[in-house]
Amino acid sequence: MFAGMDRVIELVRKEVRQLRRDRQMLPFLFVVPVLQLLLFGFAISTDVKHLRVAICDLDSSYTSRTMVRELGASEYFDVASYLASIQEADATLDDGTATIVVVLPRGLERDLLAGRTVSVQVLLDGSDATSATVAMAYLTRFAQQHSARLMEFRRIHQGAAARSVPDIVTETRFWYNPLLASSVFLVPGAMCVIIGMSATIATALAIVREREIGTIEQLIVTPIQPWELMLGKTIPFLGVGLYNVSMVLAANAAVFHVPLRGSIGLLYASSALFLVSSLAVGLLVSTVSRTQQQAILTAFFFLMPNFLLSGFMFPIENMPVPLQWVTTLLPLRYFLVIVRGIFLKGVGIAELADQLWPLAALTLGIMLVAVWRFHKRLD
Amino acid sequence: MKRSRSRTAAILRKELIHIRRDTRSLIIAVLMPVALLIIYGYGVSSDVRNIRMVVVDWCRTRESRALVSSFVQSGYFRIVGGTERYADAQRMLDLGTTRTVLVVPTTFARDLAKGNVTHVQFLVDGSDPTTANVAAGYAEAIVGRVATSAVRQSLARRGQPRPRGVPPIDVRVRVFYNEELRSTNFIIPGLIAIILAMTAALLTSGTIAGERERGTMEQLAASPIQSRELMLGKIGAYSLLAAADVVLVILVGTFWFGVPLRGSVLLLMVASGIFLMAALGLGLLFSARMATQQTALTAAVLSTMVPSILLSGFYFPIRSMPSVIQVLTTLIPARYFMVITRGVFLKGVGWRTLWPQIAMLALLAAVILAGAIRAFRRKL
Repeated sequence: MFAGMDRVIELVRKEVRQLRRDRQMLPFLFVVPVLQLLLFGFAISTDVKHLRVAICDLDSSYTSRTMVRELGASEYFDVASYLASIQEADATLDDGTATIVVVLPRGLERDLLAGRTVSVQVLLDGSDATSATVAMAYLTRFAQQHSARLMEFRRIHQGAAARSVPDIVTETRFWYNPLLASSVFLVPGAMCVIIGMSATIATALAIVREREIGTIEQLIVTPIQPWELMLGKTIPFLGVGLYNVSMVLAANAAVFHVPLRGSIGLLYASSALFLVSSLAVGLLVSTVSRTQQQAILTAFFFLMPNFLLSGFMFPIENMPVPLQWVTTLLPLRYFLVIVRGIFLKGVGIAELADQLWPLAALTLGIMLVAVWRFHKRLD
Repeated sequence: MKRSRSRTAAILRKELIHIRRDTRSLIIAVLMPVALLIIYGYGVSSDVRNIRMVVVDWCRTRESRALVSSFVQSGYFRIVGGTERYADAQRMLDLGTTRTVLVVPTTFARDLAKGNVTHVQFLVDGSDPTTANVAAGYAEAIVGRVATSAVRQSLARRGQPRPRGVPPIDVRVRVFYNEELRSTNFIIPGLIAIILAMTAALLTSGTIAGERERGTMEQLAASPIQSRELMLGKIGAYSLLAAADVVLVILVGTFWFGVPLRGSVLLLMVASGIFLMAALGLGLLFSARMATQQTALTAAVLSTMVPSILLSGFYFPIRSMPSVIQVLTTLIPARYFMVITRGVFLKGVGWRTLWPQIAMLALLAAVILAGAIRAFRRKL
């Protein structure tokens, strides 16, 4: 047993030395993950704001101009251009100068003063369904507020005899993230994705490379056991992963200030668990690949789902049910809920038990399969 | 000249033999894009429906129940529980049992009847800002509709059975290009661009570093072959493979997912061809610059996967990025290709609208290929 540990330590030392010498690879392990995080945190905003509106004001009256000004003053809409006629609307939507065209009809002011209903036509580029729905909701609300004000105005002009009309105001509060900052959502998530991705790729390539350049035979003829070899190959990358967790936390504290409300200890412990599962996936990939190109293609096949199906960007509850079952096999799915819970909600082990168990079980499962396949490959 | 062409053809033939022999990589290369497109076409949906909601109804009148039921009937919200206590609702947000809470105050019905302004509270779990935004927008619109009908009723009670001019402003929305607002129609053309970008870069990124690792590079160096000929030969072979991918993903997008293909197929093919040159060239560039396959492959994955998902405008609008990063996005081929696929698929626009994107793609492809040839010449 002790001799075994010695051999593992020797192997780790060899791996570390090899890594240190590989000048081109080092930045990908140590610098790129943090750069990616900065990219996620800075570049991405999921806010549906500043939608570009083209105005086609056929009335050009005092009332219509006031409406346009108010629309442009809200943070949701930017007036991008003014159209002289509806004929220009098509071209505007086609080339993307604006995604919304608002047509204020001729006679708008006259009709409003006469107490008639005015129909405002809105042409909407629906390609991006999400922003289109949000835009629709904002525009409807805008019209409702305007309507309420106009009715109040009419009431005053009809004299005190007319009674006031009711209205309902929605007070919306956003919890955990009152300003709806995208970084609050993406930084903890990006941390999970990034550390998992580099751990899987690095492990898979490190082993297959050894096989491709033929040095694995040398390792096999030594007294080293398969499990020692596996430990020796994965421990350095576990270290790299935990280092990257710390770097992410540091970058967050320095730049993004996403509140870390829960326990750091729990965060590291669950990160280690998740890293082990990612390393095991890398190991598994290495056992089914002959060349590094095959390894990367296969790893990639595992990694894309992590990006798109884990709930990192798109809510799992919106997916079709069979696909939701598939997502239960992704370790990242649970780890994301854990990390976001610790960061944003400050919840502890009790609340996260439902996520920690499946993560641990999956990790164990993947590890067993990887170990079994690894043995078979070596024998 | 003629001899140069025959040398290029020889390389092309050699690469094709390589591709054919590595059956597994061949299968992965052809089937993976299709498999990915199908999985993600289903999985990646930004349609926000059935948002979980907990109701705290302190009013318990016909009016408050009507408000709640208009939330349910909208199809956007699904009630997962009701409680009398505010603290319970908070706990459900903490546990993630619900995403939203609707709080109706005791005075709700009374205020409406009196013609006063009343307030309802809507708590949203803001940790996912997109969903939160959409949920808040829906809630506003639903409450607004209930308010309008309350106005109608209140006027009707006062002896105006068919109130004229209520509401004074009525919005009529007409949706273009994606009439049913299916997010699939937006996402599939984008996914096509992303998947092609990554597959193409992965295909070529191993080739030159691989020759070096296997030691066959010396043989090539000893032959009269020029850097340009070698590059063209390799690109030619892999672009045959990638062209098969293009045709397959377009077929799956149109026939499987029913995304309307309104524009010219020819334009789409030409644009894909130029885009593939850029993506394959990027892989070759890495392959030529990096010493080992390991580094070249890692570089190719990291530099195509993340930027083409995040910075191409696939899901996150480029306009809301900081201006430094907006400048950076102009270097990403997928950015232009995405505008083209979406334009051709959904809007049915043609050369006249898309020429700036096509020109930029061509420019990038030329620069990348020239870079790859130069990097390789130095190594040779």
